[in-house]
Amino acid sequence: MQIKTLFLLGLLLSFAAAAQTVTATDATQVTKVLTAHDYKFSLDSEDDGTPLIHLKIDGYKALLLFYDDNPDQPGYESLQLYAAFSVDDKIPLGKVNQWNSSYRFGRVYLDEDLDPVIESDLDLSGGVNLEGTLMVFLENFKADFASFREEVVGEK
Amino acid sequence: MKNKLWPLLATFLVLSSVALAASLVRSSDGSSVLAALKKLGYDATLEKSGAGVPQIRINAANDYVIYLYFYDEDKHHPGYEGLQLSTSVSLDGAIDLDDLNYWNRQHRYAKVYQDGEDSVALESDLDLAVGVVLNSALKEFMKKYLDNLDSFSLEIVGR
Repeated sequence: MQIKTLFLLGLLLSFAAAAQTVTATDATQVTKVLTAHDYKFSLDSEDDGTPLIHLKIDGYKALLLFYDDNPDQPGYESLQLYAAFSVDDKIPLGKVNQWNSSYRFGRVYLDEDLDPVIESDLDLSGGVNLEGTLMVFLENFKADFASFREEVVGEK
Repeated sequence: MKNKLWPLLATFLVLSSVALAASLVRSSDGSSVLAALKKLGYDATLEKSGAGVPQIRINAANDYVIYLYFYDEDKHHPGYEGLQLSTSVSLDGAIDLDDLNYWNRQHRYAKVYQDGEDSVALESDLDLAVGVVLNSALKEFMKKYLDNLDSFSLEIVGR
């Protein structure tokens, strides 16, 4: 009985370790990680029911979007962080280009209204450790977001 | 019989689960990435930059050359924590930043920018520090990059 209990415990621990490797995720898993790391957020959903998370990064609004890249598999295989600013003065595309050539991970563009947008994508489909991935994804975005605000938006 | 099989099954499951968890890497090196790319069927060659950092040249369809660069983000740990795929192409005509902006608005996982007076670059980054399964992460990284390379070729380069 004791040996069986030990095996069962080992099994559970091993599965817990292995379970950290995911190829897709959902709102429950993501919000659990965000809560554990003290992020301020609210869970919302798009018109088609896809989850959407409103986040605060350095006090600014950002969105965490879920993408179902493979509808044949359960869950969402990729995530995207998105933030946009509404600006009065036109931002030269040269500034946007300069940012894109200088920084990694993020992508900056002017949207249809010529407002600056920063985006970053995270692909889970190759198999990742969800908690570590999300934290590094958010940290990378945070760093890119700061330089975007300073160099593209022109925040003082 | 049932009692004899139980420990065997449990041991197998424990070992396979541990192996799965252990297959996550947080950094890599030139030889490991080269081996993974070759296994995936890519025409890849390991080179070194002037600074001695590994870089891999990948010959892609349509005469495109993709460079895979290694970034040592954490000097306290061995290996390279960041990978970057990059393709730079010289254009004959003028580069329109509006076209590059539109491309960046429409695509995911990569970005394009003007990297010289007459050249444009397509770039995508992969952070290994998060803990990834190297072979499958590289497979997906390359797959998405090649999809983006196709649209970059069509919409920006005009090939």
